[in-house]
Amino acid sequence: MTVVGAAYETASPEARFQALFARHYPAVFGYAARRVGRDEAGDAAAEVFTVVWRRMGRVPSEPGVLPWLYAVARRVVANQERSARRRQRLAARVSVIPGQAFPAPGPEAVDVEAALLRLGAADREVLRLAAWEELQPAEIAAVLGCSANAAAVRLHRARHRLTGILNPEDQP
Amino acid sequence: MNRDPFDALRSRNPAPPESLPEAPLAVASRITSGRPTLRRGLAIAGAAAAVALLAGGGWLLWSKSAGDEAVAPTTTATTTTATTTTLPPAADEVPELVVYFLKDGALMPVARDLRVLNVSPLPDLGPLALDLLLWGPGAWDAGPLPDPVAAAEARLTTAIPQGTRVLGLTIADGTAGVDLSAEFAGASPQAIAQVVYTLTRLQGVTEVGFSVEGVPQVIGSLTSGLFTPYLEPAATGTGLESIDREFLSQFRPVVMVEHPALGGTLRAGEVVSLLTTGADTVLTLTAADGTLLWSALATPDDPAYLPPEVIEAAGGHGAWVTLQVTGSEGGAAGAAVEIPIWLEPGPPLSTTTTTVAGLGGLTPYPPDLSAGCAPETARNLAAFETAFAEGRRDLGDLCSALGVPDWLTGSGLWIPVYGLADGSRLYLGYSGPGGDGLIYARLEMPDGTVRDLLVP
Repeated sequence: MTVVGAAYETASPEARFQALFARHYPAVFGYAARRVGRDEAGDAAAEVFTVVWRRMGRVPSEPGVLPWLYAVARRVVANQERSARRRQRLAARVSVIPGQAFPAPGPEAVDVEAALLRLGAADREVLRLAAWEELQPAEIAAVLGCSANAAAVRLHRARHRLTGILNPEDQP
Repeated sequence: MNRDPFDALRSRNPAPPESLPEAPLAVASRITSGRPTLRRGLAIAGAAAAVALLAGGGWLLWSKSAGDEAVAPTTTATTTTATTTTLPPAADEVPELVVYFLKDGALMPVARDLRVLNVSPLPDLGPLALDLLLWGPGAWDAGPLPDPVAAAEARLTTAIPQGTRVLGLTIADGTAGVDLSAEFAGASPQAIAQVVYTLTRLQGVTEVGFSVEGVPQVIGSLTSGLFTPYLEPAATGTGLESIDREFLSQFRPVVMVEHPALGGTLRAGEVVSLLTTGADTVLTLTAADGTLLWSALATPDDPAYLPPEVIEAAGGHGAWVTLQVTGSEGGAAGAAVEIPIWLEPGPPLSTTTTTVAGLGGLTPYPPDLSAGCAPETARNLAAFETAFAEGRRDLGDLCSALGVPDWLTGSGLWIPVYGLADGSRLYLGYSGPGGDGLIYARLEMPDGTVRDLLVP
């Protein structure tokens, strides 16, 4: 593996990019698909790797690459979601239909995905990174740009709040 | 139903690993062929949104300054502060630039009042901003600073290496390329952040690339996740690397008042924009006697805005006021920011709204609605008349050609307002949000007379 590493370091930027792309594209596509849907995920992933190509000089070495790519993807997806929210806000001003209609709160009606939507954006992201990208706290920290400790605390709190929404009677 | 909700969530992965596609290598080749550009409207809209949000305050100030001053020349302040009462009003000119120094190691936007230069026209703002940055805190003493500003300024530091000189600055396609002297070669991450934040505060600049003594630099990262930048000479050709604000957000304090900057001016009707770094940060503003004036929840991705009426309650206009905003994340101990700002009396907006009956007050045009808009262009009536004559009447068309409106008003109708260079205001009445279907275009002259531009 060290040979591969050394070869990677001396290869041309194009070759290094191709290798990185082949290895990590599926994960980046998955990250985007879980947040903006499969239809938009291809565009988002291409956007992420466009940013990466511009920043080839700063891509960290393995195993830090994937968290770093997720950090880039998070910004790309956030921009996409921001545009979507803007469209929703505009639409909300014309219609009087109330915004998101969640099932009435009750242990049977509320399922885990609806509960996820009711959490704050920060809680939601930390839970998705842990559950769907299957990242450890140190990797979550790399994505969110905080310390590993802070990531562990945020994850703990988010899990607690998720449980609170699903099982309100269990809460003090 | 005792299953851990987290396990349930794990089993509901909408895109499990086995469902993911292979890497489409044709896409990789397309990306590496030539200098990459942003793709599709999505990316461009996203970039524009980031500018509007991150530089939100600057945008408000800059786009409004000309219109406001033309409508009502700066009112002479009644309180006694030398720097604001003795300076001639600089009509039609940008009154201040913002540079970023450090307070306790974190970025702090600081206003530099350009009226003390007393030159007309002003020099190029890009190089001027860099000069003001390199001179460091405390070096802008053309007039005695008012007490609260002097005290705050005394606590600022800079990480820019002493003796650094600007050798060149080019701005193209939203990217500023700055060439600095050899002293900057070993600059700290904070120094890089200071330069990037200062230059991206300029209208239309979103990214910054560095050269040292003419040699393009790679902006490297020492650690994997936290982006800690350093400069080193570029060896192979991926072009001049550039970096945007978001990659340097860890150098911001927990709470940053983006607009107005320290010592800067808040015009009547403007909002204060605040940025945070922590998730779920609760921001609070308290009066000197401890009364809670305002509180809001902010996240790093969305700035919080302090509405004008809160500022009025905090001290009213025509006075120095020290904003004390406290932020705390998830119940943790709060981090406070205290900055003195000058609350400038502005034109009474009610005189405008009475002449155009029933419109309600003007509020600054929300920056988050400005995606896809062009940077501000020359604001004259002819440009709008040409657009109308060519059938471009939807706000989307006008905005992408002539820039973001300055204000929004209307109750029932949706009415964006442009401030024109001659001091008049153009009210565009649309039937609903989105800006489709122009109903009227009404020009209000500085003397209060009103004229309809679209005669059916």
